[in-house]
Amino acid sequence: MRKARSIVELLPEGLIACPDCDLLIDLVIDAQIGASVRCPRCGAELFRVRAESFENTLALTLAALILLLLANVFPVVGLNIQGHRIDATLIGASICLWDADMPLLAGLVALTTITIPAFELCAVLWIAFPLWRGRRPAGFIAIVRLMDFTHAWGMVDVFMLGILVSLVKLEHLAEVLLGVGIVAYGGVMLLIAAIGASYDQRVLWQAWEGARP
Amino acid sequence: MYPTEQKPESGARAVAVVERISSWRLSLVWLVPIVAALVGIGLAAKAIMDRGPEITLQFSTADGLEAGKTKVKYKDVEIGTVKSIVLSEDRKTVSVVTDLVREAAPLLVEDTRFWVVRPRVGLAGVSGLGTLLSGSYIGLDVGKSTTTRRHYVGLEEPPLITADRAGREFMLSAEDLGSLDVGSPVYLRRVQVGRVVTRALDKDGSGVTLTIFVDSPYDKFVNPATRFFHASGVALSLDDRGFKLDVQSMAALVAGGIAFATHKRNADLDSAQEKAAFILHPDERTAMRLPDGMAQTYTMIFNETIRGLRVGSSVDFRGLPIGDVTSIGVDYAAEGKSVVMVVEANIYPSRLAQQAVSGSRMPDTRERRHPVMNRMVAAGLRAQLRSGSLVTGEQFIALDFFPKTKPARVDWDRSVPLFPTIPGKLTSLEDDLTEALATLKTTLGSANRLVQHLNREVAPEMTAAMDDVRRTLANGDKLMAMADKLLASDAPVQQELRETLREVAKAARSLRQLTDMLERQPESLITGKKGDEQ
Amino acid sequence: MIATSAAATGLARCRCCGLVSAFAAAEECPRCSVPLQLRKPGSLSRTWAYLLAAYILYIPANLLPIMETRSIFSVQQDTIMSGVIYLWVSGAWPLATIVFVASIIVPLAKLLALTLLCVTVQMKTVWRAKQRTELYLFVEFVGRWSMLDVFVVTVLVALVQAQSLATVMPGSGVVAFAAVVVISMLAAESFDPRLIWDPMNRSGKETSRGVSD
Repeated sequence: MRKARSIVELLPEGLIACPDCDLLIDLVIDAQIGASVRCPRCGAELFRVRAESFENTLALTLAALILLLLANVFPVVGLNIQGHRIDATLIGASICLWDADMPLLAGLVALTTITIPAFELCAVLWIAFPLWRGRRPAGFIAIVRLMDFTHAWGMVDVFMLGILVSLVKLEHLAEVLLGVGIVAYGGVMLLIAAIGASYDQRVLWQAWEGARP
Repeated sequence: MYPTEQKPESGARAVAVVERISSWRLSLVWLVPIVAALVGIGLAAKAIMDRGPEITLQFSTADGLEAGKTKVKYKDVEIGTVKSIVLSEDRKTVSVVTDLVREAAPLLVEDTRFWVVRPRVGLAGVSGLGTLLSGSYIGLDVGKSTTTRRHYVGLEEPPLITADRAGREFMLSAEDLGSLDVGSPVYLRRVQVGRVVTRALDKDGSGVTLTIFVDSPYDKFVNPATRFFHASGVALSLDDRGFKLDVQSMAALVAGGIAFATHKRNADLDSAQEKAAFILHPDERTAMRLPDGMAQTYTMIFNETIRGLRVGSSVDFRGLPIGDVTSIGVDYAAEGKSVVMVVEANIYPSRLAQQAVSGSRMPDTRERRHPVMNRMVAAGLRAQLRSGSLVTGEQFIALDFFPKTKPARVDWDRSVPLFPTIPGKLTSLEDDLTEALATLKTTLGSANRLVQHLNREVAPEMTAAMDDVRRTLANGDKLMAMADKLLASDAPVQQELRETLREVAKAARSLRQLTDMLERQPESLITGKKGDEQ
Repeated sequence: MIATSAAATGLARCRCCGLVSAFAAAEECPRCSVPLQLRKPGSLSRTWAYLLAAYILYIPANLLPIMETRSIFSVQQDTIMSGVIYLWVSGAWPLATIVFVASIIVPLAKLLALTLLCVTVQMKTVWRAKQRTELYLFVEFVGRWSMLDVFVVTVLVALVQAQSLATVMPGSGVVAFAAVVVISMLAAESFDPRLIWDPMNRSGKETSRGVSD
């Protein structure tokens, strides 16, 4: 049985040539995340030791959290039927289901549209910030396991589509008023997609391994 | 640290320089959260600045109100939303905390009133039906004060008159409410020009105070000399004057109402001030009665039944009302050892003066009146009890001249002057009746004679005729019996029948003769058949 | 090329960090200390159980009304199908198609696909393994989108609350439908797609340890 080996590919191995002065350089170095590796002769930057976009991840996650907050505080969409005006917030929708004697459904909707996305974003933030600074986040393993579980259950995009479908259904019934919340929630949807694209499991663990404990 | 593959050293190779980057270099991606944060802060700031005033309303019930949903509307424009509803500390009322838009702040003054608009059916009509579909809302009527206010006690009913309605309020004091209520109509010449706004029992319980609102432009017809009176329901008066039915309108019939009128001669006065006070009279006659001027009180003694006379019964002079009875009592007349009825009455000489056609006037001072009254009494002016209506038995006091009575005079020395009286007409009614009875007696005597005559003369003829008939009928009976037996057989039976029939015919004929004669000469019943006596 | 699985070679991929290391029962991953598993435990039996529940609940989910529209004029009950027809009839064809696909086709397709996968795995066939894997990926990806109808009902309930004019209440069908979606998502999650490939391993270590039941 061959012994298992872990493979790390953060630093390109072996020799490279400086693009500006063609110096042949041996990459036996000790570099941390954030370091810039330069040619000893001409100073041109060869590459940067960068954790894959944890900076991006961080920025996008912060933005997404702010937008999620806005989406919850301001009404998402409003309806005006014959002068009778109703504004709905995200929480309000779940509360309506609760009031209609469907507590389980209310809980499910609240979980998938608010709680789990919020948790995910907070978890990413918890992890990305230390890693961006080159440190190992506390409780990393537990958080990462939870994130795997919740990743499938955050349904911001499905809810957005659900809102749009409802608006179409209601459009000729009454006057539909779009609120700040729907724009914010749409932003959250896009940002979550961008955050998901900004890192993956492999990069995450590599970064973790390279980070200071 | 990253584990790296160790490469064999080759000295000629250069080693790269590792340069640590300053940790805080930010890339452009940070614009995203920064923008998001700015937008968030901006929206929050705008929401805070746009926040309008928060008011608390106290209602007795939260029926129809929902936290977060119920709106506040002014002139159909949404100006706020109910935020929360809680029971007040004393648990007797409900506190409704309401957020209003900023622009609504100037509306919140001292006398602004709030109420819940829900479907209502009342005297004023049906209102608020639209809320069946759209849900209740809170309405308000903006006051005119300049002091602001944030805590209000809500009305339980919508106010009848909103502050911006043109017109004037007046206060009326009445003895009792009658059939009036909030919302009862106010009429001028049977046209509704306003309504009752509030009603309240006076604090000392001695009367009722009403506030009425008269719409413009009719409010200018109310001047200080205007009289207000109940126009409620049916004014039915059944008194010595007769029977009178008076109704203002169907609405007044149902809801009661108030009417007002002004004497023509007072019509030009300036219109009354807002919230001027008036008296609400019980009926039109009382209201429109011109001032009575001074009253003269007299005592009258009657020696007969005064049943049907009551306090308020009128004192007439030859049909003109000049006063009314103020009290009725009893006294023990020691001389005659009998009990007499003592009636006190007010007389208003000015009423007579008002009716005076020529310019003649009653003397206006007491002293000068005495000689005038003495002269009239000397000429036969007396007080007499008369029946006002045989139906109800009402009586009144009539002053009239009776030239043939024994002399009397006004006793001015008593505390209340004593006016001479004369026995009432009821006694003469007795005489009339006796007369009538006598006539009846004569009539009865004649009738008696007539009957006797009938017995003696006419009756025998009648009896004879009756006997004939009886006999014929008896024969007829016998014949019928025989006919029964013999009819089936021969003709002679038929002939016998015919004979019998002829006889019957004869008897009938004689009877007919008698009736014919009676027809032609009916007096024969009494006077006998013409020709018999001759 | 000799295709061999990690399991066949005695290696296991950590389910948390992805590190490949030697497998022995009850061993922890060297990097993240999470217990190593060759395959998801009890995968097939769990998936069958979830599938059965989902099939049972699918019937009331489609028969019971998911939404009740009340006004003083009428009470109207909607099932998923009638909602689709309504959208189609009012001219919103693209949305009608989306809702039809997401709410009627997809749930059923998911259940059928998972059934197929379970059956083929149980039969240990080697038929079209790649396509079956793709099928599984499709099922996993699309699972959450079936919640669309639930969210549409939620938004409508939250917005249309104009008392006597029009009021929308959720029907019991929506709870059943949400349950179907949740359960089918759980079923997809409990299914181990690696089982598809196990019958194809040529190594001797495939059978009892490689395939879980």
